Amino acid sequence: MELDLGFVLAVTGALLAIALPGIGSIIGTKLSGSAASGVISEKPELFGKALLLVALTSSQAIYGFLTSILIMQKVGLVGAELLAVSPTAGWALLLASLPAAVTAMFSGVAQGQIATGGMGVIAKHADASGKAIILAALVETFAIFGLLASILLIQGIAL
Amino acid sequence: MPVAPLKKVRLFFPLTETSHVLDVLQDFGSTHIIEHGEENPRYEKQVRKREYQLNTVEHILKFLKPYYDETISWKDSVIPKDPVVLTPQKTEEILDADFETAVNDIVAQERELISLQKREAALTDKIAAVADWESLPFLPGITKEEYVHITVGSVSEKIFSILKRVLETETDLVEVRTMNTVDGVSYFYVLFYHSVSETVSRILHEYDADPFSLETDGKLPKDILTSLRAQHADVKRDISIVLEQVRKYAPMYPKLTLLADALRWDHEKWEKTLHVFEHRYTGYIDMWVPADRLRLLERMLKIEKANLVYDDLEFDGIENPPVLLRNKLGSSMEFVTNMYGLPGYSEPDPTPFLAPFFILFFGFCVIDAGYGLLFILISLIVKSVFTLGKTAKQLMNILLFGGVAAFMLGVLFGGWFGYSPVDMPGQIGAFLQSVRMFDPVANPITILYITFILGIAQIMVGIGVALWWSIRSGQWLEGLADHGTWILFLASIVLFVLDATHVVSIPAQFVTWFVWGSIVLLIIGQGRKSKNVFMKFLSGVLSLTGLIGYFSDMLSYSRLLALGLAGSIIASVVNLLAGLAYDGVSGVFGWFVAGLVLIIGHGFNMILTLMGAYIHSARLQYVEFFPKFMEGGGKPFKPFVRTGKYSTYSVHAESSA
Repeated sequence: MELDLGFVLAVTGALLAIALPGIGSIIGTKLSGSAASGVISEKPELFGKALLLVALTSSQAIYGFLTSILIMQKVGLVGAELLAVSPTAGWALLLASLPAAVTAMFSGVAQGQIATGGMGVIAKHADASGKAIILAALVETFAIFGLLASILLIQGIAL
Repeated sequence: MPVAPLKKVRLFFPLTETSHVLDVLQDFGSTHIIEHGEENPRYEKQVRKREYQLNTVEHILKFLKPYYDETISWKDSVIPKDPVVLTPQKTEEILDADFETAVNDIVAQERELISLQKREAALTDKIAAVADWESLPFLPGITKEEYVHITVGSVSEKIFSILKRVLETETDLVEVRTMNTVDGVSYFYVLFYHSVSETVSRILHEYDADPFSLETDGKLPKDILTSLRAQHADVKRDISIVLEQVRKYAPMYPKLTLLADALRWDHEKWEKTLHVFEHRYTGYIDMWVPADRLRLLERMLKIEKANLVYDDLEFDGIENPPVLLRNKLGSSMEFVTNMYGLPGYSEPDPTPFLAPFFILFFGFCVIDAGYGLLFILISLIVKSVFTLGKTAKQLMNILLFGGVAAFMLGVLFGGWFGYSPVDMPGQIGAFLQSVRMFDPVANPITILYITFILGIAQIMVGIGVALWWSIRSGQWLEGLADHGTWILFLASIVLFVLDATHVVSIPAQFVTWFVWGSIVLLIIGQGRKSKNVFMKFLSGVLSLTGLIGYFSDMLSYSRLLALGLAGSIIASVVNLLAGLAYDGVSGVFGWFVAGLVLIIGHGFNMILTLMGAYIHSARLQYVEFFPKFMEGGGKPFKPFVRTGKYSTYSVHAESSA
């Protein structure tokens, strides 16, 4: 069977788009979730606020998932019939996935670290939890730029 | 909407009327007592006494609960009854009744029970330690003649056979016998002459079969066991006698819950005395009162003949008054606001603005009409069957509204428990397909643009709220310069994009003039605070970079598409698996297995979708919406009111106790 290089590359791009941000979110959630457990072991009433900070770190996996879906939709894996993908287009889709994949991965880890610090804010000043959430959300901006770049690149690639 | 305006009030009263005045305030239920740094020590003993009584009653309630549950039917334990309503008179009766005798007796029974249970556990451990040696016919140690030693030990069955062979090979002056083997462990004794005791000790040590020491006091193990078992039986009998006594008190549980609430309110009342200031024979207390309820408080105090004067204090503007949210229609959405934190006293209440967006985004994240219907059903059933507290009621209402949004959007996007109308048979499928407007799986880009539009809409509403608030606060020029210019600029960008993509057709010159005009206004408005003309221009131009922030905020709304798609795709995978299960298993059993896959799979997906919908819809409010018009950090208004854990309180109703 002849290897459809373009298709394989496109699928690899979709894989990286979900796997790398997923890893970032996993690590970020682990960091912030561990800190949250410590906070709610002392103050169970802060569960809601702590949960929000932990949930922030799942955003990067969502961006990666979105990028992955866009690639799959582009090559017809989702919804329509499978389309023929030239090797050039395959390479282009693979590379187009990287801005979202890489920025989201590092953003997820960094956001987990910031959220861990934010848990300290919530523990001491529960009414300032909004500020902790915003501080943690700032680093997501860079993942969003990566997502935008990937979306524009994927949309612009001709198969 | 603004938060409820408050008045700062100081109440003066004769010190002899302290308890009565606090009763009236507690009945009124709408004051926030200001707790200054120093506490008044005069009534501290009273406060500690009531704290002790409350903690004791709560403790015995925890103790009695399992015994009380044994006496009620399963229906009553699953579906609790409506809480009892207590009135002022009934509460006083409960506090005046002699409850201390019964409470002290239950506490004594509990202590006795714990002590007996500890003894029982200790005896059980001792019996277990000695039971393995029950059949030992002699005591370990040295015989009277001092020639023959006896030692006992235990080792695994496999090792024992090797140990026995080694000992008997090493010397003839030894005899090894097993007593019994239990769970792969051999219990043995070794008879040996004094002259080989070192050899025997060495070999036993090598095989980890060190001699077992047993405290016998000269008695054989079987005699010790007989004594221990007799003691154990006595303790068990004592425990059952105590439990019988405890079970006699179990029916008192409901009355004790009312006592706990009455004590709680009494304790809360006396706690406030710590914040009463004194001057000779007069006391005074500071509080915040909602401005629209101040007259009612005056009337109540007059009716109660509380001999006092009040002084409407000046609010100095630096203070941070507590925040009281008052949303009649959207009170359920206050749950979302409270999770973030309250707005400052001088900031707008975000609740009415976030409500429609939150519900819409919630529906977007679920985007399945079938799930929406289930959410509606679950919330209606729970609300009708159970008597819910305030928080639970709010959550059920959020689920209800979210379910409605999910249903409506599910119809528009063609999601029915993961099935598309295209896959449905006959007229139903045709009808549902006819009302369907979008297919998110086939055409995610269109939905992505819709989420961007929703994002821009909410961002502009947020800036609009900031503008409105500035105008309302009399700072209309600052409001227009800071926020109005941004609204104009963003609107011009939106028009430009709509025109460029041919969604609308607008004369090109108008668009150009609008965009450039709004840029100029933005530069002027944002740069106005700088010192010289050059700095004004520079800071104004630099402020245009704020567009990047708004743009990234807009992109964040793409999560709505991702979450909706994820839920839809998982639902269709569940359906696929159910189909495979049905095909793989023949007959009725196939239906059963497929049904199980559907219930578990969709149930799991619903829970995940629900969590994601709530968390991310809330997150969008907190990070992209709230910062446009508020900083937050408000302290909650804590009303001095009787809130029961087990009952409710009403000044006017008839008691149902």
